[in-house]
Amino acid sequence: MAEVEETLKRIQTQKGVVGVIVINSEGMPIRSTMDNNTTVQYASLMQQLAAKARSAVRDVDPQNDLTFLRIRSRKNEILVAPEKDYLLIVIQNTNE
Amino acid sequence: MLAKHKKGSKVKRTSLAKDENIAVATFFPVFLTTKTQELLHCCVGEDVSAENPLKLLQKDDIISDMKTRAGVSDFHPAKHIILDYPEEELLLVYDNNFQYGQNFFLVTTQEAKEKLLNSKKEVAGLEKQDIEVDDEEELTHFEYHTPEPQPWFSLGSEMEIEELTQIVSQQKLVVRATRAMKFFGKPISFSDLDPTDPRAGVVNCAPYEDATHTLSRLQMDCAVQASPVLNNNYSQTAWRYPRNAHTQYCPRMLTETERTTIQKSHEFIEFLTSRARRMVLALQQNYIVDVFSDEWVALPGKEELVERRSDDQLKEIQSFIDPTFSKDESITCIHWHPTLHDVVVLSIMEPLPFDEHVKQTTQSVPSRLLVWQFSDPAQPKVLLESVAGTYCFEFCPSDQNLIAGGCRNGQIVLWDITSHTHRLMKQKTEKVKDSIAATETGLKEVCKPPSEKQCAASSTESGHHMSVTDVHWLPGYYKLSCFGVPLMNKTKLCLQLLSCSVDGTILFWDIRPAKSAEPLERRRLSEKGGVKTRRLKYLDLKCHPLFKVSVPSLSGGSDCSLTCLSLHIDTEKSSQAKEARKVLDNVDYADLQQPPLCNAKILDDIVTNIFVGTKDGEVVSTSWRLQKDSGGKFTSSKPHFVIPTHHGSIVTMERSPFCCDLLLCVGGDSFSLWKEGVQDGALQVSRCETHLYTSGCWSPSRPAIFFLGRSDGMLEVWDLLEEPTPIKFHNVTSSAVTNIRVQSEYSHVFLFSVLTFSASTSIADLHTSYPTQIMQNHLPSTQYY
Repeated sequence: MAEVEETLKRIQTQKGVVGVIVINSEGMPIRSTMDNNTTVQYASLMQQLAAKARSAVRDVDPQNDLTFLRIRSRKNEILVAPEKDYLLIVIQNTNE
Repeated sequence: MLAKHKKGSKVKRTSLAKDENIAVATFFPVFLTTKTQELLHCCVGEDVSAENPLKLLQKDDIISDMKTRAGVSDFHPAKHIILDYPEEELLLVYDNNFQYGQNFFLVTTQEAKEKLLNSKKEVAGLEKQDIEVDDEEELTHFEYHTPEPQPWFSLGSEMEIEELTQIVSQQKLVVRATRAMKFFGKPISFSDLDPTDPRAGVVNCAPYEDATHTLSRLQMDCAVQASPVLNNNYSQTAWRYPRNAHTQYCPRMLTETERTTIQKSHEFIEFLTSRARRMVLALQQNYIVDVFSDEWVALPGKEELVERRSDDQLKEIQSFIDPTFSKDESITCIHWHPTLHDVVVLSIMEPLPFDEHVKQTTQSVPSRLLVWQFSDPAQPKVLLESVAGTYCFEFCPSDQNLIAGGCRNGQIVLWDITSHTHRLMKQKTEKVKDSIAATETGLKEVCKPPSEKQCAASSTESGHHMSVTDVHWLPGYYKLSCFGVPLMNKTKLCLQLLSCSVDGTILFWDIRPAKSAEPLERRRLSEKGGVKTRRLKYLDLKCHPLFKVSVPSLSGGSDCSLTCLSLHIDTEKSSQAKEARKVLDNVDYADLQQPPLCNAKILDDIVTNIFVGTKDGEVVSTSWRLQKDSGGKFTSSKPHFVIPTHHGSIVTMERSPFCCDLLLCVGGDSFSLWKEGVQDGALQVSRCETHLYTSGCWSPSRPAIFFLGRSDGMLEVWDLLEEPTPIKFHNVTSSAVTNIRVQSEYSHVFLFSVLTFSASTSIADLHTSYPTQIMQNHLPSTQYY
């Protein structure tokens, strides 16, 4: 448990990080640093997008797999690190 | 008896059989009970029996019986027969054998009744007769009746008969043939005529083989189209009542216990640690570098450049005027310090025109070299004193503390500013402190800048007789022997210099001690004793030139007065030498010896040509290698060419920093471009301008640009790519521009120092954008190539 805390703290203290969310494969948030509504919204959206991205990567080459997904917008950047059962989502502000 | 009876019965039977056919419809079986039989007197066995079955009944009796007994009467079923019977007497026949179903039957018709009665009688009669008669009457009983014609049923035999019958189908032809009268009565013979006989008049159509029939068709074009049997079919599930199968009103959430269990699980921890590493990397990347920044957009736009264009005048940054030392004196030469970028050394002299310089050679007026630093525009930092007026000087390329100068009296003078360099460098960093200190003291004490005497001067006898006009150090990648043969210089130090003067000679000097000097150890001891001696002291007044090259003038006879010269410097080799020199420390020249000739390697690829400009505006190209004369003596070689170009004395000869064989020669009222190796003449001579040119300088960063200073104080900027007029004019000073030097260290800003006769130095900043967009320093790029 302490490792989890430490790791999340390490991510949280990076420059510009707005929030960190960990969700399971069904899209249910396990751990989050933001309020519930935002968490649930991000969880559902990112889960679908990550699944779509993964299927796209695997369609092109079945040996390949998605390792990281970054969505950069004008205001911030959403980084998604998928795994077999879980998903790590981090929202960071961009410099511009 | 039996036989007879049999026959009789047989007959009877047959007659009865006949009657049976009729009697089926007419006999009505009826069952009579014993009581009815007694009433009607037809009891079985008594009145009626087998032999005597017939009994006549009265109709009235039957009807009365029926009436009395109504439905129960035995005659009830035959009621309608009885009532309909016309006669009074009904025949009742006893049926012993139950032939018709009951023990009695009624005869319904009169004819049958009569027949039966008659037959009975006949039988009775016959029986009687039978007993009497036997065999004789047998034959007469067979009465032959002729068979009557029956109607004929066709059974198919008529067809065969029809087939076999012969019918005349055609009408017979009747041919009437007559003969002539005379032939009447004569015998006739008819004969057959074969139809094939031609007399018959029969044309036989014989069958012949038709060719077309034998042709067998082997191949036949047959078109076949394979059309698939297509069948479009679709199916659609009938969603008759659209409604939501599932609805969710709030998101599913995990319970707290579930969350904690998940977070404690091993695989969750593993996932988080592995993913977090990558995430942190990505997060750091984001704020280190903005990969999506558009650099093209960030470039300065056209509008900014257009603004700059108009603002490309020379801006005077600083002007150095020293009232105490350089009042009313003219500046003859200026050089930037090779390493310290804000130090400028200039030589001042009396403001005399050039001709008078030439004349007054013997007069030795002490003059100075001023060392200025940007931080202190009011006072020069160091004063370098010399015995006579220094007309020109140059920093040693390998040793930044060594300055060689040529004096008006023909001497070559060396200065060593080692002790001041440190101070100058220190000054640079402690500028702020000094200024504060200065304000504190209130500038009361104006300390005199330290002066340094020259450390060595050449001997007066063997040097030039007249004023030295130009001094150059030889580049360090070669050195010369005493015959002018270029040798390899292992130390890559610049130890030799050459000078030209008005007396028409070019002298080569070497700062190393001559061979004939004192032995090394003794010298060292004497030097070590106590006083710190100057460097190069051994040269003082003992320096002799290596060799002499004299340049004959065009007109022959007396030598021409040389004003400036230019060496060929291979930029690549000189930069290599510069690199090699970096590792060397401060070298004591006293330790270096002039090596014997045979030791050093002879370099063949050194260009030994020099361009010399004369007072009369001639350009001379000559080589410094001494050649053997007819008498065996080494003399200076004949110049390659001597071409009069300019109308005045040549003031500047400078090689382009980009093309080492391109020369700019400025003199009189024009300038010319020369190329090494082209012996016919100048590449280009500009037309005669209205003003006299007094100085020229190449731009160190742009290949085709050079600056010319005019006698009226204007600075002309020429671009060789945009001929023929100068592209820019800058009014710098009121008096003539004598010298231009461009600092080449700063890539985007030029710093000129433009000297004038009135001893004011101005450092000017030529704005960057000019003539087209962004300035670039081309020199490093060409060196790279």
